[in-house]
Amino acid sequence: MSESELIDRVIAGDPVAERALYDLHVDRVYRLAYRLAAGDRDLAQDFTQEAFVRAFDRLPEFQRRSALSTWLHSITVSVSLNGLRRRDRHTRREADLEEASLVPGGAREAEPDLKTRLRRAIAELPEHYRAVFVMYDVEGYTHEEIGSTLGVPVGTSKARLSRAREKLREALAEFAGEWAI
Amino acid sequence: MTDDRFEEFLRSAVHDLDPVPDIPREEMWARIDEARRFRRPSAVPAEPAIGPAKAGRRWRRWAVWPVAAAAMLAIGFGIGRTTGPDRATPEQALAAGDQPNAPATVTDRIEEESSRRVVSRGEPRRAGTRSASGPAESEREQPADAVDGPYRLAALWHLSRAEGLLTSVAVGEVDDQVADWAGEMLTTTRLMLDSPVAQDPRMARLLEDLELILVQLASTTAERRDDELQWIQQGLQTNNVLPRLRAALPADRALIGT
Repeated sequence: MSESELIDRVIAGDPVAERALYDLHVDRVYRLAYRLAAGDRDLAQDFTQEAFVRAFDRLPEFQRRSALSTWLHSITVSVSLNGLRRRDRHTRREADLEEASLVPGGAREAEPDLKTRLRRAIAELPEHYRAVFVMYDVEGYTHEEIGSTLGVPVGTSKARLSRAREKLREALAEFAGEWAI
Repeated sequence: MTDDRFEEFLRSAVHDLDPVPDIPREEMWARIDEARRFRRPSAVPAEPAIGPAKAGRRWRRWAVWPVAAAAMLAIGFGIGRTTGPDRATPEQALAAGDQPNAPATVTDRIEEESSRRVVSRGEPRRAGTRSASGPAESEREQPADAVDGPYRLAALWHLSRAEGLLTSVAVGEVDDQVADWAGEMLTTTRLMLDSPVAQDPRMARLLEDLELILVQLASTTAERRDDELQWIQQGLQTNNVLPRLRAALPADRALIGT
C-alpha cells in the first residue's frame, strides 16, 4: 500500500494505517527529537508522541505538495522547540530558587570533557541555529530538506549553520589546540 | 584552513556524541494510540460556524449557571439515592472531588483519564449496575429518553452549560477562569457518568468525550493557553463534540430552563 493510500486511511479513522505510518517514520522522528532534546530520552519520547498525535490530528490539512516525512519533521521540530521552551522556563524558575539558596564559595564544578561541553554548547545554541545544526551536522539532512522542514530558504539554512558553528567554536574555545594548529 | 579544521573537529566530536538509544517504539505507540482513540473521526456531520459575538454571549451565559446545574444534579442524586439500590461506588467518591496524586500536566491527566476509560470499557460505566444483578441489569441500555425526572433534567441542564462553554472555546473566547469552570463542570460530568443517564450508550459516549475535553481545559495554564487551546479545539472538531451536544439538547431550551 502506498503512503498516499495510508494517509487516506488514517484520515478515515483507520488505526491500523496509523500504526503503519508510525512504523515508517518513528525512527527518524525520534532521532530528531532526541538530538533536539540534547539526549534527554524522556523528553524525546514525549516529543515524538506529541508529534505523531498532532500529525494524525492534522493529517486532513496535509497538502501533499511535500513529502510526508518533511511535514512530519517540521511538526517534530515545532513540538520539540515548544517543549524545550516550556522546560527551560520551568528550569529557570527552579535554578533561580536554587541559586538563592546557595552559599557562596561552594565546590567548583569539575572541568567538563569535550563531550559534555559540546552537548551543553549545542543545547545552549539559539533554537533556530540548534535545529539547523542538529539536522545538518548531526542527523545528515541536506539544506534543501532543512529548508522545507523549517520553512526557510536554503540560503537561510546555510547561514544559520554557519552561525551555529561559529557559536560552537566560541563555546569550545578551550579545546582550540585540537584544531587551530 | 582553520575553519575547515574546526569543521572536521566538530564532525568528529559530533560523531562521538551519545548514540541514539534503543527506540521505545511500542511504549510510545501505546500512548499515541490511547490519545488518538478519542480523536479519530466519527460519522457525525461537521460543526456549523458560529460568530465570536454570539459565542461571547454564550460564554457569559454558561458562566452564570454551573452552581445551579450542580444543585439540580444534587437534587437528582438525592432522589436517586433515597430510591436507589445501593451506596456510592469508589468512582463516585472520586468524581466528587477526592483525587489524591492528581497528575500535573495535560498529558498526564489525559493518560489518567484514558486509562480509567480503558478500564471502564471492559466494565462500562453505569450507575444501574452498582449491584451485579437484579433491577440494575434490567436498566441497562435504556435510551436517555427513558430516564425521566430530575436525572434527565439535570443532564440536559448540564449539557446546555457545556455547550455554552465549548462554543466559547471553539472560537477562542476564553478568559483566565476557564480552567476553574471546566474543573467544576468536570466534577458534574463524572457524576453524570455514574448516574442513570449514562445508561444510554450515546449519552455515555458524549459525556466521556466531554469529560476528556474538560480534563484538558481544567489543566490549561495562562502562559500555555494558546497552544493548549489549539489542541483542544482540534479535539473538539475531530470528535464532533459540539454538534453531538446540540443534537442531545431539546430544540426548545425553555423546557430545561435555559
